Amino acid sequence: MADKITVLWLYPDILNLHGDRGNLMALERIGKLMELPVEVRRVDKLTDPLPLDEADLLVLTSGEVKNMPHVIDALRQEQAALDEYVARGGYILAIGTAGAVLAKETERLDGTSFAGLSLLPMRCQERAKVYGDDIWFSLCDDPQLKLMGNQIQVIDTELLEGAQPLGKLIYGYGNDGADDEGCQAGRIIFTNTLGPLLVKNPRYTERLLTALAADHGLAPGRQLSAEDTDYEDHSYQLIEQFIRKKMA
Amino acid sequence: MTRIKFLLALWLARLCRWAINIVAPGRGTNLPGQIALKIDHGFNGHFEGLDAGKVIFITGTNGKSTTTNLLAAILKEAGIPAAVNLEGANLEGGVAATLMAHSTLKGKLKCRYIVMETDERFLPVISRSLPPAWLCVTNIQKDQVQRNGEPDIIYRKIASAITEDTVLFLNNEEPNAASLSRLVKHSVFYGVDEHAKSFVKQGFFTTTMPCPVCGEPIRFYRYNVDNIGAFTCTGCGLKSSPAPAYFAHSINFADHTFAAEGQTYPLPYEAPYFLYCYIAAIAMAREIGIAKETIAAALARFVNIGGRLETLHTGGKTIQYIRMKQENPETLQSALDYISQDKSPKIFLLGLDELVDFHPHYTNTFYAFDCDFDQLIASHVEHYICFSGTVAYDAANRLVYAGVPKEQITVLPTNDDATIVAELAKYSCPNIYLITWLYKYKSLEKYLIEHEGEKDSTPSTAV
Repeated sequence: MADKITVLWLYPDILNLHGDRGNLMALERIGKLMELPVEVRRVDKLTDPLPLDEADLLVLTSGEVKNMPHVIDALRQEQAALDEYVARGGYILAIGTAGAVLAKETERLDGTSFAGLSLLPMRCQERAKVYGDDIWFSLCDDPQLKLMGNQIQVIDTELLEGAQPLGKLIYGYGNDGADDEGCQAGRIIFTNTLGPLLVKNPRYTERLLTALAADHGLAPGRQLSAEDTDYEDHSYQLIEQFIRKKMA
Repeated sequence: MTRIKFLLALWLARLCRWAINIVAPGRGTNLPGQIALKIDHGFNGHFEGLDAGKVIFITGTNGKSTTTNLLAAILKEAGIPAAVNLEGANLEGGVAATLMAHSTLKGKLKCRYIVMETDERFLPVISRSLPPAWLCVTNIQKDQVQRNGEPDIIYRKIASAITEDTVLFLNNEEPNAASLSRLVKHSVFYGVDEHAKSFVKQGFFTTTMPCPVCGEPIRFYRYNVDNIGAFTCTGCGLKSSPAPAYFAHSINFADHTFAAEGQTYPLPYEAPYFLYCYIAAIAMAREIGIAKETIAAALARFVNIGGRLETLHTGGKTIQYIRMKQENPETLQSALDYISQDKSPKIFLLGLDELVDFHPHYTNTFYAFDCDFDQLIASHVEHYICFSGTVAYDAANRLVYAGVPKEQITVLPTNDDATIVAELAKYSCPNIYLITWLYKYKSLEKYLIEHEGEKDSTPSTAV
C-alpha cells in the first residue's frame, strides 16, 4: 500500500468551470497543513489510462453538460477497473454538473438523454433557466458540520428510491428546490456546492483527508488550527449573516 | 395593416424619445424601442430601405462594444452612413431605438449599413426580425454564470441565430468562436500574431478548455490574451490558422503600432486584448471595401468610450482603478496582467463584492480561482488589501492559495470608503492599484472629492 493519498483529478481541461480547480489546490494545501502526504495527479485526455489501482479519490469538477457523455464514455472504457475501485472503497467526489456522470440518466432540454454510470440513484434534468445562489446545508452524517458555498444550477437532480442526500438545506436550492443537497452512497459523493467547496469548507476537507489517510494507516501530523482557517471562519460568519438577511 | 402598426409604433416611440430627451437628455436608448416592439413585434424588420445584405451584428462575451465603436468610426471616416448602437443598448429595444433614430417619420432608413452590438443572450431574439448578413463573434467565454451558466449555453444561442448563408467574422484564436465556421458556407477569420506580451502557462493547476467540437482538451501554444491564442485540439482537427485572412502582426507596444495587409495602424492601448477588437473591425471594414489608408486615418482619431482605467489621488498617492466585468474571469485576469506589467513597488487593493445584479444576490468569488495570480505576486506587491462587506476574506483566501503570506494581507470586511482610505494612509508606497466593481469605484471617487477635494479623476483608455 502506498504511503500517500493519491487524488486523481479527472479531465481538468474539460471539467473546467467555476474555479473548481481550487478544490484540488485545497486537498494539496490542507493536506500539507495536516502534515499528510497528498499527491494530486492529472488525467488530462479522455483517452488517457486511469491509474485507478493507485488512486484513493477521484475528483470530477463542474463542466459543460454537453461534455458529460464524453466523460462517461471515457470512464466506461475502464468499467471493470472502476467497478473494482468502487468495490474496494475508493472515494469519488463529483461536483456540480459532474453529478450527471454518477447519475442513472440525464435528460437534456432538446429532449435527448444520456445514461450515466449509475453509481448514485439519481436522475438529472437540464434546466431551461440557470439559477445561481448561495447554498448552506448540514451534513446528514454529521449535522454539526455545516457547509457553505454557491451553486450554479444548470441541471436539477432527482433522488431516486433508496438515495441518501449528502445534506439537508438550511438555505438554498440544493438538488431541486426542496430540502436535499447532493447525494451520498458510502464513499461516492455528489454535491452541487461550488465555492470552491473544499476551499471554503476546510473542516470538511480535513474530514475527507483524515478518512483517506486512515485507509493507508496514516494519521494526520496535526489537526487544523483556528489560525489555519481564520479567513475561512470569518468568511463563514459574514456570509451566514448575509444569508440570514435573505432568509428573513 | 402591418404598415399601419409599424407607423403607429414608430410615432409613439418617437414621442416617447422626445419626452425622455426633455426630462433626461441622452437617456432614451432603450425604452422607446421597447414601446415600439410592444406594438409591433417585428418592428426592427419593417423599416423601408432596409438592405438585408448590409446588416452587421457584433456579439460575444468580451470586446463587442469596442469592436462596434471601432467599426463605426471607420464607417464615419469613409463617409458611409450607418445606424450604430454606440451607447451600448444591445438588447432588442436598443436596436429598435437606434434604427428609429436613423429613420424618417415615414420609417425610411437614412443609413446604408446597420451595425449593432448585440447581447449574446438575446441574439436569437434580435435576429428573428432583423437577421444579420454578417455576424462577428469576438469570443465565447465564462461570464455572468448566475444567468449564463456555462459557455455552451451561449454557444448554442449564438449558433441558433446563424444560417448557412450568414457570413461569420470569427476570432481565429478563440476555439469556441472559431468552431462556428462549421455552420456556414463562408467565414472570415481574423487573428493576432505572437507579440511581446504573449505568454505560456505551465503550472500544475493550469487548465485550458474543452474542444467545442469533440470535447478533448484544447492546447494553446501561447496566449495572446487569457484563453485566446494559437491553439490545437488534442482530439480532433480543430486548430487556429497560422495565416487568417486578417492578421495583426509586427505588434510594437513601444511605438503603439501594428500592421496588417502591409498597412501600419496605430494602437494606443497597452492591453493586447484590444488588438482583437482592432483587427476584427479592420476585417469587416476591408470586406466592406474601405481602403486601408482610410481605416488607418479613422483609427488614428479613435477615442474609446468608457475605458477601463481611471485614476484617483489620495494623500499624495495615485490609485489606478482597473475595471472588470463581474463574474468574468477573463477580465479579472486581464486586469491582473495589466498590473503585473508594472514591476515597481505597489499596493494592491481588491474589492470583490457580493453580486447584486440579479436576484437572488449572492456571494460568488469562485471565478477568482479561474485566474492566476503568480505574475501579480512576482511584480513587487508590497501589501495586499482586500475589502468588501461580505466576501473580503474569500478574496484574501484566494491570495493565500496563490502563495501570499497572511502577514502581507489586510482584510477589511467593509465597503466603508473612510476605512479604506485610512488603511491606504498607513503605507508610504504611492503606487496603488484597485480592482473592484464600478459602483464601488464611483463611491470611493465621490468620497475623495468630498473629503480631499480630489477632482483629478482622469479617465484614460490606456488599458
